[in-house]
Amino acid sequence: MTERLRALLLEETEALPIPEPDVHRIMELGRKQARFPGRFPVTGLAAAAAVAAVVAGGIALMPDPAELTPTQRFNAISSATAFDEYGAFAVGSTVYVGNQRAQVDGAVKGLYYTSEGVLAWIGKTGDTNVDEPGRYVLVHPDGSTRKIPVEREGSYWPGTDPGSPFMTYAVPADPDAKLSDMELGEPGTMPSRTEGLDTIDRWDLIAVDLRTGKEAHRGTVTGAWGHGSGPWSAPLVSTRGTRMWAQTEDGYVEHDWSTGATRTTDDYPGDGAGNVQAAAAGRYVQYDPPGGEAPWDLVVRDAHSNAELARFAGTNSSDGLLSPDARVLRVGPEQVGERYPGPFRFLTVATGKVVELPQRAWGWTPDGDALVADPARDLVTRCDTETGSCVEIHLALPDGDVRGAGYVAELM
Amino acid sequence: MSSRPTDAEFTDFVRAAWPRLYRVAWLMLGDHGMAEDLVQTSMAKTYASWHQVRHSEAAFSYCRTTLVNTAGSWFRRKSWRNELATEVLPERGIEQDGSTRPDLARALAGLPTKQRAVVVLRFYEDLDVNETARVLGISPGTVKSQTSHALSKLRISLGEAFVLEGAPHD
Repeated sequence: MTERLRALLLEETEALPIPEPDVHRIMELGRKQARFPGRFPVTGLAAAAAVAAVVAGGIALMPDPAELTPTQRFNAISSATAFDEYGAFAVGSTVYVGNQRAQVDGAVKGLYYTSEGVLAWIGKTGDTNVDEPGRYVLVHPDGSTRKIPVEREGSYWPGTDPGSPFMTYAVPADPDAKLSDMELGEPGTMPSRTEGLDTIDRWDLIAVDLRTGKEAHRGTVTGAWGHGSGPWSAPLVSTRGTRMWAQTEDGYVEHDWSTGATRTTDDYPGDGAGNVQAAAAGRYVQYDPPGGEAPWDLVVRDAHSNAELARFAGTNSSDGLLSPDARVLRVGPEQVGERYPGPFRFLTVATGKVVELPQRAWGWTPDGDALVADPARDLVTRCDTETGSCVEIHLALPDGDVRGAGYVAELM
Repeated sequence: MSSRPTDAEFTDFVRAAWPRLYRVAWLMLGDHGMAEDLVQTSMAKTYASWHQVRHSEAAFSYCRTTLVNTAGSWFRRKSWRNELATEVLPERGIEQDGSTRPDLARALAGLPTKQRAVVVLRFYEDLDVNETARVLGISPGTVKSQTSHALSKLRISLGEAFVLEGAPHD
Protein backbone atom coordinates (compact mmCIF):
# COMPACT_ATOMS: atom_id res chain seq x y z
CA MET A 1 0.00 0.00 0.00
CA THR A 2 1.05 3.60 -0.35
CA GLU A 3 0.18 4.85 3.12
CA ARG A 4 3.91 5.09 3.80
CA LEU A 5 4.32 7.46 0.86
CA ARG A 6 1.50 9.63 2.11
CA ALA A 7 3.04 9.63 5.57
CA LEU A 8 6.36 10.67 4.09
CA LEU A 9 4.75 13.53 2.18
CA LEU A 10 2.96 14.77 5.28
CA GLU A 11 6.09 14.39 7.38
CA GLU A 12 8.19 16.26 4.82
CA THR A 13 5.83 19.22 4.67
CA GLU A 14 5.11 19.30 8.38
CA ALA A 15 8.49 20.85 9.10
CA LEU A 16 8.30 23.21 6.14
CA PRO A 17 8.72 26.88 7.07
CA ILE A 18 5.64 28.64 5.70
CA PRO A 19 6.06 32.29 4.70
CA GLU A 20 3.34 34.76 5.59
CA PRO A 21 1.02 35.59 2.70
CA ASP A 22 1.01 39.19 1.49
CA VAL A 23 -2.74 39.58 1.17
CA HIS A 24 -2.50 43.17 0.01
CA ARG A 25 -0.13 42.20 -2.79
CA ILE A 26 -2.31 39.26 -3.80
CA MET A 27 -5.39 41.49 -4.03
CA GLU A 28 -3.44 44.09 -5.97
CA LEU A 29 -2.33 41.42 -8.47
CA GLY A 30 -5.88 40.11 -8.63
CA ARG A 31 -7.28 43.55 -9.42
CA LYS A 32 -4.70 43.97 -12.17
CA GLN A 33 -5.69 40.60 -13.56
CA ALA A 34 -9.34 41.60 -13.53
CA ARG A 35 -8.61 44.83 -15.40
CA PHE A 36 -7.35 42.89 -18.42
CA PRO A 37 -10.00 40.33 -19.11
CA GLY A 38 -10.00 38.47 -22.41
CA ARG A 39 -11.01 40.83 -25.17
CA PHE A 40 -12.72 38.17 -27.19
CA PRO A 41 -16.46 38.13 -26.73
CA VAL A 42 -17.71 34.85 -25.34
CA THR A 43 -19.73 33.34 -28.14
CA GLY A 44 -23.41 32.48 -27.77
CA LEU A 45 -23.41 28.98 -26.36
CA ALA A 46 -20.38 29.58 -24.18
CA ALA A 47 -21.87 32.79 -22.81
CA ALA A 48 -25.11 31.07 -21.95
CA ALA A 49 -23.27 28.24 -20.24
CA ALA A 50 -21.18 30.67 -18.22
CA VAL A 51 -24.22 32.58 -17.03
CA ALA A 52 -26.00 29.37 -16.16
CA ALA A 53 -23.03 28.22 -14.15
CA VAL A 54 -23.20 31.33 -12.01
CA VAL A 55 -26.91 31.54 -11.32
CA ALA A 56 -28.33 28.02 -11.48
CA GLY A 57 -29.67 26.75 -8.20
CA GLY A 58 -28.91 29.85 -6.26
CA ILE A 59 -25.78 28.36 -4.78
CA ALA A 60 -23.82 28.15 -8.00
CA LEU A 61 -20.13 28.52 -7.57
CA MET A 62 -17.68 30.36 -9.63
CA PRO A 63 -16.83 28.01 -12.47
CA ASP A 64 -14.16 25.49 -11.65
CA PRO A 65 -11.60 25.67 -14.48
CA ALA A 66 -11.69 21.91 -14.79
CA GLU A 67 -15.42 22.03 -15.56
CA LEU A 68 -15.34 24.70 -18.24
CA THR A 69 -15.50 23.92 -21.93
CA PRO A 70 -12.21 24.61 -23.71
CA THR A 71 -13.66 27.82 -25.17
CA GLN A 72 -14.97 29.02 -21.81
CA ARG A 73 -11.66 28.25 -20.19
CA PHE A 74 -9.77 29.99 -23.03
CA ASN A 75 -11.78 33.13 -22.38
CA ALA A 76 -11.43 32.87 -18.61
CA ILE A 77 -7.71 32.27 -18.17
CA SER A 78 -5.21 35.08 -17.87
CA SER A 79 -3.62 36.51 -20.99
CA ALA A 80 -0.21 35.19 -19.91
CA THR A 81 -1.51 31.66 -19.44
CA ALA A 82 -3.42 31.86 -22.71
CA PHE A 83 -0.23 32.88 -24.52
CA ASP A 84 1.70 30.02 -22.91
CA GLU A 85 -0.92 27.50 -23.93
CA TYR A 86 -2.24 28.81 -27.24
CA GLY A 87 0.63 30.89 -28.56
CA ALA A 88 -0.10 33.08 -31.54
CA PHE A 89 -1.16 33.23 -35.16
CA ALA A 90 -2.13 35.97 -37.56
CA VAL A 91 -4.98 36.48 -39.97
CA GLY A 92 -4.12 39.25 -42.39
CA SER A 93 -2.79 42.08 -40.27
CA THR A 94 -4.43 40.92 -37.03
CA VAL A 95 -2.15 39.10 -34.62
CA TYR A 96 -3.94 36.76 -32.23
CA VAL A 97 -1.82 36.27 -29.14
CA GLY A 98 -3.29 33.95 -26.51
CA ASN A 99 -6.77 35.29 -25.83
CA GLN A 100 -5.86 38.83 -26.92
CA ARG A 101 -5.32 40.38 -30.31
CA ALA A 102 -3.50 43.31 -31.87
CA GLN A 103 -3.65 45.09 -35.18
CA VAL A 104 -0.37 45.70 -36.99
CA ASP A 105 0.37 48.08 -39.82
CA GLY A 106 1.12 45.78 -42.75
CA ALA A 107 1.11 42.13 -43.77
CA VAL A 108 2.55 39.63 -41.32
CA LYS A 109 5.45 37.71 -42.84
CA GLY A 110 6.29 35.70 -39.76
CA LEU A 111 5.73 35.36 -36.03
CA TYR A 112 8.53 34.39 -33.66
CA TYR A 113 8.24 33.47 -30.00
CA THR A 114 10.16 35.27 -27.30
CA SER A 115 9.81 35.47 -23.52
CA GLU A 116 8.24 38.93 -23.97
CA GLY A 117 5.57 37.85 -26.42
CA VAL A 118 5.51 37.18 -30.13
CA LEU A 119 7.69 39.14 -32.54
CA ALA A 120 5.88 39.99 -35.77
CA TRP A 121 7.89 40.52 -38.97
CA ILE A 122 5.85 42.89 -41.10
CA GLY A 123 6.09 44.05 -44.69
CA LYS A 124 3.96 45.18 -47.59
CA THR A 125 3.46 41.55 -48.55
CA GLY A 126 3.40 38.42 -46.45
CA ASP A 127 6.03 36.75 -48.67
CA THR A 128 9.27 36.13 -46.78
CA ASN A 129 11.33 35.90 -49.95
CA VAL A 130 10.44 39.34 -51.29
CA ASP A 131 13.19 41.95 -50.97
CA GLU A 132 11.37 44.82 -49.33
CA PRO A 133 11.74 46.86 -46.18
CA GLY A 134 10.77 44.74 -43.20
CA ARG A 135 9.72 45.99 -39.79
CA TYR A 136 9.32 44.28 -36.46
CA VAL A 137 6.64 44.71 -33.82
CA LEU A 138 6.57 42.91 -30.48
CA VAL A 139 3.07 41.87 -29.42
CA HIS A 140 2.90 41.25 -25.68
CA PRO A 141 0.62 38.56 -24.24
CA ASP A 142 -1.80 41.28 -23.07
CA GLY A 143 -2.20 42.50 -26.67
CA SER A 144 -0.14 45.66 -26.29
CA THR A 145 2.50 46.31 -28.94
CA ARG A 146 5.98 47.77 -29.13
CA LYS A 147 7.76 48.78 -32.31
CA ILE A 148 11.28 47.40 -32.47
CA PRO A 149 13.54 49.94 -34.18
CA VAL A 150 15.13 47.47 -36.59
CA GLU A 151 14.35 48.05 -40.24
CA ARG A 152 16.01 45.87 -42.84
CA GLU A 153 15.68 45.57 -46.56
CA GLY A 154 15.91 42.03 -47.81
CA SER A 155 14.91 38.61 -46.64
CA TYR A 156 15.93 38.12 -43.03
CA TRP A 157 14.43 35.63 -40.63
CA PRO A 158 15.15 36.70 -37.07
CA GLY A 159 16.46 34.15 -34.59
CA THR A 160 14.54 34.00 -31.31
CA ASP A 161 14.06 31.68 -28.35
CA PRO A 162 10.71 31.40 -26.50
CA GLY A 163 12.64 31.59 -23.23
CA SER A 164 14.69 34.66 -24.11
CA PRO A 165 13.92 38.37 -24.63
CA PHE A 166 16.39 38.76 -27.50
CA MET A 167 16.02 38.98 -31.27
CA THR A 168 19.16 37.99 -33.18
CA TYR A 169 20.29 38.46 -36.76
CA ALA A 170 23.38 38.94 -38.92
CA VAL A 171 24.62 41.91 -40.94
CA PRO A 172 27.86 42.35 -42.91
CA ALA A 173 30.67 43.40 -40.55
CA ASP A 174 31.76 45.91 -43.17
CA PRO A 175 28.80 48.27 -43.54
CA ASP A 176 29.84 49.04 -47.11
CA ALA A 177 29.95 45.40 -48.16
CA LYS A 178 27.09 44.52 -50.44
CA LEU A 179 26.24 41.39 -52.33
CA SER A 180 25.89 42.01 -56.04
CA ASP A 181 22.47 41.83 -57.61
CA MET A 182 21.92 39.09 -60.14
CA GLU A 183 20.75 40.13 -63.59
CA LEU A 184 19.46 37.45 -65.89
CA GLY A 185 20.66 37.67 -69.49
CA GLU A 186 19.38 35.92 -72.56
CA PRO A 187 18.25 32.35 -72.15
CA GLY A 188 21.21 30.02 -72.20
CA THR A 189 23.67 32.62 -70.96
CA MET A 190 25.10 32.94 -67.48
CA PRO A 191 23.54 35.58 -65.26
CA SER A 192 25.61 38.72 -64.92
CA ARG A 193 26.24 40.53 -61.68
CA THR A 194 26.06 44.17 -60.87
CA GLU A 195 28.77 45.83 -58.84
CA GLY A 196 29.26 44.09 -55.53
CA LEU A 197 30.56 40.92 -53.95
CA ASP A 198 29.78 37.28 -54.62
CA THR A 199 30.27 36.40 -50.99
CA ILE A 200 30.80 38.25 -47.74
CA ASP A 201 33.17 36.63 -45.27
CA ARG A 202 32.74 38.57 -42.04
CA TRP A 203 29.45 39.08 -40.29
CA ASP A 204 28.27 40.85 -37.18
CA LEU A 205 25.86 38.81 -35.09
CA ILE A 206 23.51 41.17 -33.29
CA ALA A 207 21.24 40.64 -30.30
CA VAL A 208 18.50 43.22 -29.71
CA ASP A 209 16.91 43.30 -26.27
CA LEU A 210 13.17 43.42 -26.97
CA ARG A 211 12.50 44.84 -23.51
CA THR A 212 14.31 48.03 -24.47
CA GLY A 213 14.41 47.84 -28.25
CA LYS A 214 18.14 48.48 -28.08
CA GLU A 215 21.07 46.54 -29.42
CA ALA A 216 22.49 44.56 -26.52
CA HIS A 217 25.38 42.84 -28.19
CA ARG A 218 27.31 42.73 -31.45
CA GLY A 219 30.04 40.20 -32.17
CA THR A 220 31.99 39.64 -35.36
CA VAL A 221 32.37 36.14 -36.78
CA THR A 222 34.03 34.76 -39.89
CA GLY A 223 32.20 32.62 -42.42
CA ALA A 224 31.30 32.98 -46.08
CA TRP A 225 27.76 33.66 -47.20
CA GLY A 226 26.60 34.91 -50.56
CA HIS A 227 25.27 33.86 -53.92
CA GLY A 228 24.27 30.23 -53.85
CA SER A 229 24.30 29.99 -50.07
CA GLY A 230 20.57 30.34 -49.77
CA PRO A 231 17.65 32.57 -50.61
CA TRP A 232 18.31 34.90 -47.67
CA SER A 233 20.26 38.10 -47.54
CA ALA A 234 22.48 37.00 -44.66
CA PRO A 235 23.29 33.84 -42.74
CA LEU A 236 20.40 32.56 -40.67
CA VAL A 237 20.88 32.95 -36.95
CA SER A 238 19.41 30.91 -34.15
CA THR A 239 19.83 31.62 -30.46
CA ARG A 240 19.47 30.24 -26.99
CA GLY A 241 20.50 31.98 -23.79
CA THR A 242 23.60 34.03 -24.57
CA ARG A 243 24.65 31.93 -27.54
CA MET A 244 24.02 32.62 -31.21
CA TRP A 245 24.65 30.25 -34.10
CA ALA A 246 25.00 31.32 -37.74
CA GLN A 247 24.95 28.99 -40.70
CA THR A 248 27.73 29.87 -43.16
CA GLU A 249 29.41 28.12 -46.06
CA ASP A 250 32.40 27.50 -43.81
CA GLY A 251 30.53 25.82 -41.00
CA TYR A 252 28.19 26.46 -38.18
CA VAL A 253 29.56 29.44 -36.23
CA GLU A 254 28.81 29.75 -32.51
CA HIS A 255 29.23 33.02 -30.67
CA ASP A 256 28.63 33.45 -26.94
CA TRP A 257 28.11 37.06 -26.08
CA SER A 258 28.61 36.52 -22.36
CA THR A 259 32.22 35.44 -22.94
CA GLY A 260 32.93 36.71 -26.45
CA ALA A 261 34.01 33.18 -27.39
CA THR A 262 33.54 32.22 -31.03
CA ARG A 263 34.11 28.89 -32.69
CA THR A 264 33.24 27.26 -35.96
CA THR A 265 31.63 23.89 -35.64
CA ASP A 266 32.88 21.74 -38.45
CA ASP A 267 33.41 18.54 -36.52
CA TYR A 268 29.89 17.19 -36.59
CA PRO A 269 29.19 14.12 -38.64
CA GLY A 270 28.34 14.98 -42.18
CA ASP A 271 29.53 16.94 -45.11
CA GLY A 272 29.75 20.36 -43.57
CA ALA A 273 27.25 23.02 -42.79
CA GLY A 274 25.07 22.15 -45.79
CA ASN A 275 24.05 19.02 -43.96
CA VAL A 276 22.12 21.06 -41.38
CA GLN A 277 18.42 21.15 -42.17
CA ALA A 278 16.97 23.48 -39.53
CA ALA A 279 18.02 25.04 -36.25
CA ALA A 280 16.28 26.48 -33.23
CA ALA A 281 16.96 27.24 -29.58
CA GLY A 282 20.32 25.52 -29.37
CA ARG A 283 19.52 22.45 -31.43
CA TYR A 284 19.73 21.56 -35.09
CA VAL A 285 18.49 18.85 -37.43
CA GLN A 286 20.65 17.07 -39.97
CA TYR A 287 20.34 14.23 -42.44
CA ASP A 288 22.09 10.94 -41.82
CA PRO A 289 23.75 9.75 -43.96
CA PRO A 290 24.77 13.17 -45.25
CA GLY A 291 24.25 13.74 -48.92
CA GLY A 292 22.71 10.30 -49.31
CA GLU A 293 19.47 9.28 -50.90
CA ALA A 294 16.21 8.47 -49.16
CA PRO A 295 15.42 6.79 -46.94
CA TRP A 296 17.56 8.66 -44.47
CA ASP A 297 17.43 9.46 -40.77
CA LEU A 298 16.70 12.91 -39.38
CA VAL A 299 18.92 13.50 -36.35
CA VAL A 300 18.46 16.21 -33.71
CA ARG A 301 21.72 17.41 -32.17
CA ASP A 302 22.75 19.86 -29.49
CA ALA A 303 24.25 22.86 -31.28
CA HIS A 304 26.93 23.40 -28.62
CA SER A 305 28.12 19.85 -28.02
CA ASN A 306 26.87 18.25 -31.25
CA ALA A 307 25.64 15.35 -29.15
CA GLU A 308 22.85 13.34 -30.73
CA LEU A 309 19.60 13.90 -28.84
CA ALA A 310 17.03 12.09 -30.98
CA ARG A 311 16.70 10.27 -34.29
CA PHE A 312 13.76 9.80 -36.66
CA ALA A 313 14.82 6.76 -38.64
CA GLY A 314 14.10 5.74 -42.20
CA THR A 315 12.10 8.51 -43.80
CA ASN A 316 12.03 9.92 -47.30
CA SER A 317 10.71 13.22 -46.02
CA SER A 318 13.07 16.16 -46.30
CA ASP A 319 10.71 18.23 -44.19
CA GLY A 320 12.28 18.11 -40.73
CA LEU A 321 11.43 21.15 -38.68
CA LEU A 322 12.06 21.97 -35.04
CA SER A 323 9.53 23.57 -32.74
CA PRO A 324 10.56 27.06 -31.61
CA ASP A 325 11.81 25.68 -28.28
CA ALA A 326 13.43 22.73 -30.10
CA ARG A 327 11.52 20.32 -27.86
CA VAL A 328 9.80 18.66 -30.81
CA LEU A 329 10.85 17.60 -34.31
CA ARG A 330 8.11 17.72 -36.92
CA VAL A 331 8.62 15.36 -39.85
CA GLY A 332 6.57 15.94 -42.99
CA PRO A 333 4.52 13.28 -44.79
CA GLU A 334 6.26 10.49 -46.65
CA GLN A 335 6.43 10.83 -50.42
CA VAL A 336 4.48 8.17 -52.32
CA GLY A 337 5.07 8.62 -56.03
CA GLU A 338 4.36 12.27 -56.66
CA ARG A 339 2.09 12.63 -53.66
CA TYR A 340 2.48 13.14 -49.94
CA PRO A 341 -0.66 11.50 -48.55
CA GLY A 342 0.30 10.67 -44.99
CA PRO A 343 0.24 12.46 -41.65
CA PHE A 344 2.75 14.75 -40.02
CA ARG A 345 4.87 13.05 -37.37
CA PHE A 346 5.87 14.85 -34.18
CA LEU A 347 8.84 13.41 -32.30
CA THR A 348 9.41 14.55 -28.71
CA VAL A 349 13.16 14.91 -28.44
CA ALA A 350 13.38 14.04 -24.74
CA THR A 351 11.53 10.74 -25.04
CA GLY A 352 11.73 9.74 -28.70
CA LYS A 353 7.96 9.25 -28.69
CA VAL A 354 6.26 9.94 -32.04
CA VAL A 355 2.70 11.22 -32.42
CA GLU A 356 0.87 11.53 -35.74
CA LEU A 357 -1.41 14.41 -36.66
CA PRO A 358 -3.30 14.91 -39.92
CA GLN A 359 -2.00 17.23 -42.59
CA ARG A 360 -2.92 20.80 -41.74
CA ALA A 361 -1.10 24.13 -41.80
CA TRP A 362 0.23 23.57 -38.30
CA GLY A 363 1.97 26.40 -36.54
CA TRP A 364 3.44 26.10 -33.08
CA THR A 365 2.74 27.18 -29.55
CA PRO A 366 5.80 28.51 -27.67
CA ASP A 367 6.31 25.14 -25.98
CA GLY A 368 6.09 22.93 -29.04
CA ASP A 369 2.44 21.97 -29.34
CA ALA A 370 0.73 22.20 -32.74
CA LEU A 371 -1.72 25.03 -33.43
CA VAL A 372 -3.88 25.81 -36.44
CA ALA A 373 -6.54 28.45 -37.08
CA ASP A 374 -9.42 27.94 -39.51
CA PRO A 375 -11.28 31.18 -40.34
CA ALA A 376 -13.83 29.28 -42.43
CA ARG A 377 -15.02 27.43 -39.33
CA ASP A 378 -14.12 30.08 -36.72
CA LEU A 379 -12.08 27.43 -35.03
CA VAL A 380 -8.63 27.24 -33.43
CA THR A 381 -7.23 23.76 -32.80
CA ARG A 382 -4.32 23.02 -30.50
CA CYS A 383 -2.89 19.50 -30.30
CA ASP A 384 -0.54 18.15 -27.68
CA THR A 385 2.44 16.83 -29.63
CA GLU A 386 3.30 14.37 -26.86
CA THR A 387 -0.12 12.71 -26.62
CA GLY A 388 -1.94 13.66 -29.82
CA SER A 389 -4.93 14.95 -27.84
CA CYS A 390 -6.51 18.10 -29.24
CA VAL A 391 -8.77 20.90 -28.02
CA GLU A 392 -10.88 23.19 -30.18
CA ILE A 393 -11.61 26.83 -29.40
CA HIS A 394 -14.50 28.61 -31.05
CA LEU A 395 -13.31 32.06 -32.03
CA ALA A 396 -14.74 34.53 -34.52
CA LEU A 397 -12.03 35.06 -37.12
CA PRO A 398 -11.94 37.39 -40.11
CA ASP A 399 -11.27 36.13 -43.60
CA GLY A 400 -7.68 36.39 -44.69
CA ASP A 401 -4.38 34.61 -45.01
CA VAL A 402 -3.48 32.69 -41.88
CA ARG A 403 0.10 32.79 -40.68
CA GLY A 404 1.21 30.30 -38.03
CA ALA A 405 3.83 31.19 -35.46
CA GLY A 406 7.13 29.73 -34.40
CA TYR A 407 8.46 28.54 -37.72
CA VAL A 408 12.21 28.42 -37.61
CA ALA A 409 13.98 28.96 -40.86
CA GLU A 410 14.94 25.86 -42.75
CA LEU A 411 18.51 26.11 -43.82
CA MET A 412 18.33 24.13 -47.04
CA MET B 1 -29.53 35.39 -1.87
CA SER B 2 -26.44 36.16 0.11
CA SER B 3 -24.36 39.12 -0.90
CA ARG B 4 -21.10 38.80 -2.75
CA PRO B 5 -18.12 37.80 -0.62
CA THR B 6 -16.11 40.68 0.67
CA ASP B 7 -12.42 41.48 0.71
CA ALA B 8 -12.44 40.57 4.38
CA GLU B 9 -13.74 37.14 3.49
CA PHE B 10 -11.06 36.83 0.83
CA THR B 11 -8.45 37.72 3.44
CA ASP B 12 -9.81 34.98 5.67
CA PHE B 13 -9.68 32.58 2.74
CA VAL B 14 -6.05 33.45 1.99
CA ARG B 15 -4.94 33.00 5.58
CA ALA B 16 -6.76 29.68 5.88
CA ALA B 17 -5.75 28.19 2.53
CA TRP B 18 -2.23 29.57 2.20
CA PRO B 19 -0.31 26.96 4.28
CA ARG B 20 -1.92 23.97 2.59
CA LEU B 21 -1.54 25.38 -0.91
CA TYR B 22 2.03 26.43 -0.17
CA ARG B 23 2.88 22.86 0.80
CA VAL B 24 1.29 21.56 -2.39
CA ALA B 25 3.25 24.10 -4.43
CA TRP B 26 6.50 23.25 -2.67
CA LEU B 27 6.05 19.55 -3.28
CA MET B 28 5.42 20.25 -6.96
CA LEU B 29 8.26 22.72 -7.43
CA GLY B 30 10.82 21.90 -4.73
CA ASP B 31 11.73 25.54 -4.37
CA HIS B 32 10.53 27.99 -1.70
CA GLY B 33 10.60 31.13 -3.83
CA MET B 34 8.81 29.58 -6.76
CA ALA B 35 6.29 27.92 -4.46
CA GLU B 36 5.46 31.29 -2.92
CA ASP B 37 5.14 32.87 -6.37
CA LEU B 38 2.89 30.06 -7.53
CA VAL B 39 0.50 30.28 -4.60
CA GLN B 40 0.45 34.06 -4.80
CA THR B 41 -0.33 33.95 -8.52
CA SER B 42 -3.05 31.36 -8.04
CA MET B 43 -4.66 33.34 -5.26
CA ALA B 44 -4.52 36.53 -7.32
CA LYS B 45 -6.32 34.72 -10.13
CA THR B 46 -8.87 33.53 -7.61
CA TYR B 47 -9.35 37.07 -6.34
CA ALA B 48 -9.90 38.24 -9.92
CA SER B 49 -12.93 35.94 -10.00
CA TRP B 50 -13.89 36.47 -6.36
CA HIS B 51 -17.08 38.34 -7.18
CA GLN B 52 -18.46 35.12 -8.64
CA VAL B 53 -17.97 33.14 -5.46
CA ARG B 54 -21.17 32.09 -3.79
CA HIS B 55 -19.73 29.32 -1.70
CA SER B 56 -16.44 29.66 0.14
CA GLU B 57 -15.59 25.97 -0.09
CA ALA B 58 -15.50 26.30 -3.86
CA ALA B 59 -12.73 28.83 -3.59
CA PHE B 60 -10.20 26.31 -2.36
CA SER B 61 -11.00 23.86 -5.14
CA TYR B 62 -10.85 26.64 -7.71
CA CYS B 63 -7.57 27.97 -6.35
CA ARG B 64 -5.97 24.51 -6.22
CA THR B 65 -7.00 23.80 -9.82
CA THR B 66 -5.65 27.19 -10.85
CA LEU B 67 -2.41 26.43 -9.01
CA VAL B 68 -1.99 23.11 -10.80
CA ASN B 69 -2.80 24.68 -14.19
CA THR B 70 -0.40 27.54 -13.57
CA ALA B 71 2.33 25.14 -12.48
CA GLY B 72 1.74 23.15 -15.64
CA SER B 73 2.17 26.29 -17.68
CA TRP B 74 5.41 27.09 -15.85
CA PHE B 75 6.68 23.56 -16.33
CA ARG B 76 6.09 23.76 -20.05
CA ARG B 77 8.04 26.97 -20.33
CA LYS B 78 10.91 25.69 -18.25
CA SER B 79 10.88 22.07 -19.33
CA TRP B 80 13.44 22.50 -22.04
CA ARG B 81 15.89 24.02 -19.59
CA ASN B 82 15.17 21.44 -16.93
CA GLU B 83 16.13 18.73 -19.38
CA LEU B 84 19.64 20.06 -19.36
CA ALA B 85 20.00 21.18 -15.76
CA THR B 86 20.72 17.80 -14.28
CA GLU B 87 23.85 18.48 -12.28
CA VAL B 88 22.44 21.05 -9.89
CA LEU B 89 19.28 20.12 -8.08
CA PRO B 90 16.76 22.77 -7.08
CA GLU B 91 17.12 24.51 -3.77
CA ARG B 92 16.26 22.20 -0.93
CA GLY B 93 13.63 23.51 1.41
CA ILE B 94 14.52 21.32 4.34
CA GLU B 95 17.84 21.01 6.03
CA GLN B 96 19.38 17.57 5.93
CA ASP B 97 18.89 16.19 9.41
CA GLY B 98 21.39 13.37 9.20
CA SER B 99 18.68 10.79 9.69
CA THR B 100 18.07 7.81 7.48
CA ARG B 101 14.83 9.37 6.32
CA PRO B 102 14.56 9.02 2.54
CA ASP B 103 15.20 12.15 0.49
CA LEU B 104 11.65 12.68 -0.69
CA ALA B 105 12.20 16.10 -2.26
CA ARG B 106 15.03 14.77 -4.38
CA ALA B 107 12.94 11.76 -5.39
CA LEU B 108 10.02 13.99 -6.39
CA ALA B 109 12.33 16.28 -8.34
CA GLY B 110 13.37 13.25 -10.37
CA LEU B 111 9.83 12.65 -11.61
CA PRO B 112 8.44 14.19 -14.81
CA THR B 113 6.19 17.10 -13.98
CA LYS B 114 2.88 15.40 -14.69
CA GLN B 115 3.83 12.39 -12.59
CA ARG B 116 4.89 14.70 -9.78
CA ALA B 117 1.53 16.46 -9.93
CA VAL B 118 -0.30 13.14 -9.85
CA VAL B 119 1.66 11.98 -6.81
CA VAL B 120 1.06 15.21 -4.93
CA LEU B 121 -2.66 15.30 -5.68
CA ARG B 122 -3.29 11.64 -5.01
CA PHE B 123 -1.05 10.96 -2.05
CA TYR B 124 -0.75 14.37 -0.41
CA GLU B 125 -4.09 15.92 -1.26
CA ASP B 126 -5.66 12.47 -1.05
CA LEU B 127 -7.75 12.89 -4.18
CA ASP B 128 -9.07 9.80 -5.92
CA VAL B 129 -8.37 8.97 -9.54
CA ASN B 130 -11.40 10.79 -10.93
CA GLU B 131 -10.82 13.92 -8.85
CA THR B 132 -7.16 13.98 -9.86
CA ALA B 133 -8.12 13.56 -13.51
CA ARG B 134 -10.57 16.45 -13.25
CA VAL B 135 -8.05 18.78 -11.63
CA LEU B 136 -5.32 17.94 -14.16
CA GLY B 137 -7.66 17.89 -17.14
CA ILE B 138 -6.58 14.40 -18.16
CA SER B 139 -8.36 11.05 -18.34
CA PRO B 140 -8.63 8.71 -15.34
CA GLY B 141 -6.70 6.15 -17.36
CA THR B 142 -3.83 8.59 -17.76
CA VAL B 143 -3.88 9.27 -14.03
CA LYS B 144 -3.58 5.56 -13.36
CA SER B 145 -0.75 5.06 -15.82
CA GLN B 146 1.08 8.16 -14.57
CA THR B 147 0.65 6.94 -11.01
CA SER B 148 2.05 3.56 -11.92
CA HIS B 149 5.08 5.07 -13.66
CA ALA B 150 5.67 7.47 -10.78
CA LEU B 151 5.50 4.76 -8.14
CA SER B 152 7.91 2.61 -10.11
CA LYS B 153 10.43 5.43 -10.12
CA LEU B 154 9.86 6.30 -6.48
CA ARG B 155 10.29 2.64 -5.60
CA ILE B 156 13.78 2.86 -7.06
CA SER B 157 14.72 6.23 -5.59
CA LEU B 158 13.13 5.79 -2.17
CA GLY B 159 13.44 2.07 -1.77
CA GLU B 160 10.93 -0.73 -1.85
CA ALA B 161 9.98 -0.29 1.79
CA PHE B 162 8.53 3.14 1.21
CA VAL B 163 6.38 2.56 -1.84
CA LEU B 164 4.81 -0.82 -2.05
CA GLU B 165 2.52 -2.18 -4.71
CA GLY B 166 -1.05 -1.03 -5.08
CA ALA B 167 -2.34 2.47 -4.69
CA PRO B 168 -5.26 2.71 -2.30
CA HIS B 169 -7.42 4.68 -4.74
CA ASP B 170 -7.07 2.36 -7.74
